Amino acid sequence: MILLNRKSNILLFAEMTIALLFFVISFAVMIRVFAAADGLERRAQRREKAVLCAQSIAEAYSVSGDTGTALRLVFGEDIPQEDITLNSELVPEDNGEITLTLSEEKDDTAAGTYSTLSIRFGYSGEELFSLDCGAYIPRGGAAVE
Amino acid sequence: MKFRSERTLADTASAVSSMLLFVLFALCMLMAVAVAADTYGRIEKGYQQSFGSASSIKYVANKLRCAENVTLLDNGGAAVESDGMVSVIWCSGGELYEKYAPAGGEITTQGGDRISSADSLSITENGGLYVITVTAGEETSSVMVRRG
Repeated sequence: MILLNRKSNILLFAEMTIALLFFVISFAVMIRVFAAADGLERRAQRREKAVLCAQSIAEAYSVSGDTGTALRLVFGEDIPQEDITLNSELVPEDNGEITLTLSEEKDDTAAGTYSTLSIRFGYSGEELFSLDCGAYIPRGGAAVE
Repeated sequence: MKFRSERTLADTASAVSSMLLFVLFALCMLMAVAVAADTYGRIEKGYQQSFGSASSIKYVANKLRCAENVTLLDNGGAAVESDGMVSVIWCSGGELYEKYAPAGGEITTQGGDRISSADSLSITENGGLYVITVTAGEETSSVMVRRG
């Protein structure tokens, strides 16, 4: 009877050890899944903010036809048009985690100037969101300067 | 007798070890559930706040785009006139509301239809653009819309 109990305890011990090992492996997978889900959610939030910011720049560009004026209207300050970096709240900041790249092309005609602006947000070397917009400014001048 | 005693001690040690393993297993399970609940809660909260502010801001932005005439209100909202109807949009008690009335008639910010969850709404003018700012929880979103 004692031998039977001892054998039963050893079996239980072995079963618990195997269960614990299985759990450790499962837990590692679960942590990776949760970390990935958290990362995706943060990426979605950054993308959502980038969409709204790009939309604001496009709208400001459509009334001014000038990149510098559009950036001033959106960010509330004069910022250089090259190597723009933003923090997670999309506020201009040196060495920010989000990069904003703008490229402008202008086509002068007798009636006015048609210009296009390409807005690209990047994060960790990947493109977060991009938007191409245009503005037509007649000879008389822009609505906002 | 001594033999019996040694056997009992070994059995006890084995049983205690098994119980300790079981307790460890239970603690790990508890930890996993706590981590999962925390992560899920954070994702859900972030999604709700992001969805609340984004949907509100897009709704208001589209309203302003298709408006024939816009009057900004002191409470941060706006009265948007379109197709002979005036729609008043404002924020109160953590909700975004909208109310319709015929143009020219009296309209107040009482009652109205609930649009979405938002803690505050602010519509201002800046350089030929409307600046719409919506706050939902800890999330504040802002967008500019060209004035018609």
